[in-house]
Amino acid sequence: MDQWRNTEWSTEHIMLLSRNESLEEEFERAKAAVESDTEFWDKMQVEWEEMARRNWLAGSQPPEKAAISPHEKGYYFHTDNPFRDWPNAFEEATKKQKEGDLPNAVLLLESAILQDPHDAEAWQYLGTTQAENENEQSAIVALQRCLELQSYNLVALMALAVSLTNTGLQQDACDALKNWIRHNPKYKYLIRGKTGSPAPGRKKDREASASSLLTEVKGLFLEAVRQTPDMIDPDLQTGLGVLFNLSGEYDRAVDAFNCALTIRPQDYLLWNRLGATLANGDRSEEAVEAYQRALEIQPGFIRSRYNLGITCINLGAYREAVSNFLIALNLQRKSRSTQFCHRVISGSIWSALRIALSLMEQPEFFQAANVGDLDTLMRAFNMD
Amino acid sequence: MDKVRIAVIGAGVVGLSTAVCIVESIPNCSVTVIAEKFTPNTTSDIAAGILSPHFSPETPIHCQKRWFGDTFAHVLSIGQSADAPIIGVEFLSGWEIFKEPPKERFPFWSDMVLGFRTMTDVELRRFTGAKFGWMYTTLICECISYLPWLEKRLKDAGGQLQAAKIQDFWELDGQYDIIVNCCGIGAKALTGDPKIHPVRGQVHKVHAPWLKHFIRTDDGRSYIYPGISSVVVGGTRQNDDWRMSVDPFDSKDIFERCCALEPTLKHSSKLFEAVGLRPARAVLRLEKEKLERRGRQMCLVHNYGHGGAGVSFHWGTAKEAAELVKDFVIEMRPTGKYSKSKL
Repeated sequence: MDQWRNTEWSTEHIMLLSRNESLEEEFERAKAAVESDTEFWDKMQVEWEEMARRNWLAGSQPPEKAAISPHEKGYYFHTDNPFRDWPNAFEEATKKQKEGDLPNAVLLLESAILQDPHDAEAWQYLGTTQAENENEQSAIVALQRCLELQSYNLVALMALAVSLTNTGLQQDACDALKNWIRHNPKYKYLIRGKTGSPAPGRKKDREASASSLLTEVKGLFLEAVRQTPDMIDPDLQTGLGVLFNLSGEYDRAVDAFNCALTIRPQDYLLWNRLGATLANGDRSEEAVEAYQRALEIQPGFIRSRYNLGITCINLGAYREAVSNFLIALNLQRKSRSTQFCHRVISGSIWSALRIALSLMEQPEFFQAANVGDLDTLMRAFNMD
Repeated sequence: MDKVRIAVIGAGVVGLSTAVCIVESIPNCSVTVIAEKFTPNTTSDIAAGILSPHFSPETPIHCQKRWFGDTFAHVLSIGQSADAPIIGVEFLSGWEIFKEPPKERFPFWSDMVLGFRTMTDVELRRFTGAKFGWMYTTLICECISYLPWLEKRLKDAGGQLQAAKIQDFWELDGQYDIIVNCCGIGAKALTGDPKIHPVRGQVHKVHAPWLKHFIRTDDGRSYIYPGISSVVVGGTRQNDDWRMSVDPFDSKDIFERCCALEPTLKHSSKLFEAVGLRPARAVLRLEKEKLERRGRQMCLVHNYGHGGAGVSFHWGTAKEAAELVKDFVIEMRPTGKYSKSKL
């Protein structure tokens, strides 16, 4: 399977890959799950393990930490998942994800995982979908869980590197990218018997080793590019783009993402990454164009909508910023999780919305934003 | 930038849960809970801890719904774990009885608690004078166990506890960047807010292990809540009454009223009595405020005025208070920080 996920495959192709299970097998599995008395307890077990990971049950010991991150926390499942026992939840999820219905894709993937907690691929998709859904923390936890089950999963390693970069965890992001090289059949020869990065010591040492790790991993990626002069590997270029973001070399990062886009012009994730890089490099007008391309291809792409709003703030277009945040929140709300539907909605968008409203100096909307009253705001901005 | 230093004043159920939500959701901050009293000496420790949101109708219903919904989901997930009794959480079913049928036959929270229904005539017959009633299953969250668990969760995440009585927010100027006010009835003295007032509640704790259901009257004055190891029998609702001592007249009155509801209480043995002051306010205060003095600014987030619904709303209001803190944090960090776009 590792080979299958290799780098020539675009994101869309990977989405289309069905798993090696036939329909009959699927049916048998679902049937057995329904019939089995142990099913309920298995689910309890998964949720229990997640809670134990959160390390807040009295007396429980912290789990052994995964090598990949020091920020281990449990994944929070939705409590009222309407897809809870759906057969073929994974296939349904990929369909929803392609349609741009991220909130329901998340619920379906959670359902798939509750039915089979060792489904690494479901964890992978949950991670990438949560990132698209602008829920970084959930994305990170899901991707880490995927990598515990399948340390060589290249898609998960790359996605994790991106999420960690967004969170400002430079060293961890570098570790993930180094592992991406280490497990990539095309480039693993570049790491010849090298061991992992040294254990972090005092704060000063840690900072020093973080910057030297960034230099080292950047060196690996540049070497990989040099070794393959006659072909462009868009994933390799993506990794390079992330690394240049980490070092603040935004123009070089823009070049890397543009290069990847020549091979995958329909990859909305890449357009968003290009946009975010342009925005972080103070090229807001160009960023807007890139986000618009991403949203043309995938209108339900909530992260890009959020980014567009942020860039609107930076350009002083507060009303447009508010509109974009409201669109994103409204999309997230359309999930089938009804009872506590606001839980699907991410806090970062509400925060950004509040900032935009306060910059607009329209205090009459503060209350609605503070209490998460989306209906009132949608009406106030003529978006209902 | 260095860590943002956040102080939470108050170590009851609202203060501790707010501190936990802040420390778990805001990266790179330090959280210190400063309080005069910690568990088992807080007002929360006296509350029965039942999740049923009987609150002032002046606070918008959609807010109450969200706070209660979030809190219920949070406590439910604990209730479904094996450690529930250690954390102080259990499911509890029972009756809420009315002398006259209420205007709204179904309260806004009827689809949030479990198995909500109106009582049958046979059920009603048990209670003299009852014309109408609800039966439902909810959760009870006993602060005597829950607060130590929150304290542990806070400390595990790097938060700290500090015993001190704060008389003026400006005492903390320079030591903290953001101050979160969760001090319940203490907010009266600290903020000078004229809208907050005490509603005195006196309770008995008794040993009566045969009681498995709660009973509550519609005026909220009489109630029997069987907890994990004892039964809370109450109570009083005395407006603007600051007396913290047990009133023997109230004791007798409470016991008689509750025996009328549940005659078997006569065989219970009394463990102790206690008094708590509910921090009542027509509209719960959950908002940001910036104070200024001699050219210095102070960032405040208020989260108080929960009345008798502190446990019922704690997690929902804690999450929102954490969001408000986050707004300040974003303001304080260099501009490039909050406007960062995501790959």
